[in-house]
Amino acid sequence: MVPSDERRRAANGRASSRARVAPPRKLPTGIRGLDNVLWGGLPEGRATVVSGRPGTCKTIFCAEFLYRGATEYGEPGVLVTFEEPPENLIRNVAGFGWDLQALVDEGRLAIVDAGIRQLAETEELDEGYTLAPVWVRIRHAVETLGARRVAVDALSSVFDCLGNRGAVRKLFLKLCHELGGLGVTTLVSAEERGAYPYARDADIMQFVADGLIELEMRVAQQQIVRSLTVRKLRGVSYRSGAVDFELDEHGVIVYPKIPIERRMARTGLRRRLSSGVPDLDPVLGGGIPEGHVMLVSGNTGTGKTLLGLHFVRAGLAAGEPAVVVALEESAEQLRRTAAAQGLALKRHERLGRLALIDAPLIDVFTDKLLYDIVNAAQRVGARRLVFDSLSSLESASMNRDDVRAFLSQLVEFTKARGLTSMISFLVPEMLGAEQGQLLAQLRVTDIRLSSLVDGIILLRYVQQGSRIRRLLHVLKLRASRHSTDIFAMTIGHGRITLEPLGTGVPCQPIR
Amino acid sequence: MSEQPEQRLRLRLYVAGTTLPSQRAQASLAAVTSDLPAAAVELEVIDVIADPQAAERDNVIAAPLLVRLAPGPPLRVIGDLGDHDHLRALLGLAPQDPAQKVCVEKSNSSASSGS
Repeated sequence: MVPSDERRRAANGRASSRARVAPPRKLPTGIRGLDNVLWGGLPEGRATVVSGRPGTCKTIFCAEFLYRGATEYGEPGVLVTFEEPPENLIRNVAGFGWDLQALVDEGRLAIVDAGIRQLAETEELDEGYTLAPVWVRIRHAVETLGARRVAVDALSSVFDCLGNRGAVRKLFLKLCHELGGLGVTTLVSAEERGAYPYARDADIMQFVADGLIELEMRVAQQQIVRSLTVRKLRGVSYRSGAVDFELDEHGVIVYPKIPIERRMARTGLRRRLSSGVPDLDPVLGGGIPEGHVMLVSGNTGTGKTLLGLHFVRAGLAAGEPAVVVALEESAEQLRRTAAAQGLALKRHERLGRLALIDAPLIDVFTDKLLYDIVNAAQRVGARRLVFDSLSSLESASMNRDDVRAFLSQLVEFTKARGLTSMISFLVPEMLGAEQGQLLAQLRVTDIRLSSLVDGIILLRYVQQGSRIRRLLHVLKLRASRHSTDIFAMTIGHGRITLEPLGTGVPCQPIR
Repeated sequence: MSEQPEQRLRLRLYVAGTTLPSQRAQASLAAVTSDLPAAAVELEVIDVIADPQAAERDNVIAAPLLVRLAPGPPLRVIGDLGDHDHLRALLGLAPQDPAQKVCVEKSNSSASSGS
């Protein structure tokens, strides 16, 4: 993809003395977030297919494309509906506050009812017919309104009703090739079906169209998680990869991935940020190097969240605003936990120095979450980030590769902004590690996450005599010296203290 | 046999331009109604390319489309109407006499093999 683009650009460069062929311009859809994914919009004057299984919101994309065009860009549109009767369609999208009937009355929208309902009452004597009347009606509506946009909903459903599939294909080809000649940008929705013979028709549509956007949904634990993937957009560039979207009270909202920035903020590794735990800073060689991403890995109750809160507290005391992502507990619960440590989160939030983000533990939209983090960091001018915890994403119906991808994006963002971060990760198997086995206890997932982060702090429980003790040690710290000692960690009275473990009483794994 | 007004065959044929299917459909209609007195058949032909608004008003999707307005319940048939026997049956017309039928079948088969 990239090399051929470069070749094309090079070819353009050579031909620049002669007439230059401009790439298709982009037409903003107006659908929130989608134009970001499309790098500006749909290729103007071309046809793009939006495909997906039933219930993936194809019709809503079609309707919103036209609604935004008419209301935000002053571009009249034509909606061609093959499946839903116009009155149903109008009613179905009224909930988003879109008054399509008003647009029709004002001459900003025309609805061509190519309803296949009536085909049920039509005798198909032979296959000597065409769908030319549909084309004629669309063209007439486009010319009457001076339309700039056409959305064709559920063209593929005609395949079910007519024996003459060639007629349907011909209509589709006409839509693709001739609407552009009328200065119209087209969105065609198509049902995606696996089984023959539909697959062939769907294939043809996908080959012929200039653009293809696939909609998907999966039923997660408590809600439907929707995503879209731009498969092609002829002649123009776009962002690849699946992105989440959802429906809210205003329509579709797409959460584009945050741009991957290779740029690194100018951070001074020599500059150390206090971890907020006075005993920990010398262990880290003086504090956390600025811009580092620290992974705090440990079992439940070992103090991961507390370490994060102390890190935030030290930051706020030093005039460094922070973003805290609380997935393990609700924001309110975290405020209470913090208050018990003498940290009034609420006050800092009011002063605009701290942003607290909480998301439902189940069915987290990661793309949305990234957006929330980016926006919050910009809003408060964050210098520090606490993410508690990465492992809760895994329990929130994400697989480990997704978690790794998310972390990778999050790290890119923190590096680009020069944020110093503490990310916690729950490791249940860590329970009862023996001293000699400490390194061997690292799970494969940890190792894989390890390459993404700059430092790892391990927390675990052991039994020492008749006591359960928390142990802390720094496993890794990029570009810095650090202590390799194992410390006993004590939490109490709003403080975290470390002391050398000592050799007196042997530690035992908890059984 | 006296013609009742309501028994007059009222047909409307929507075509899309002067394409081959349009011509075939019109020829077929002429053939199956040729035995009827002229006053017994009312045929209106609408070219949707010339009159897109009619297509919009009557929700026409495919052409040629033959609509029987009367007598009996509304009937819609799409295709180039090449199967005369089927078309007669749909329109409630008497079958053609067998001698002529052979000719029609021959011409039909030659037409279909040529297409």
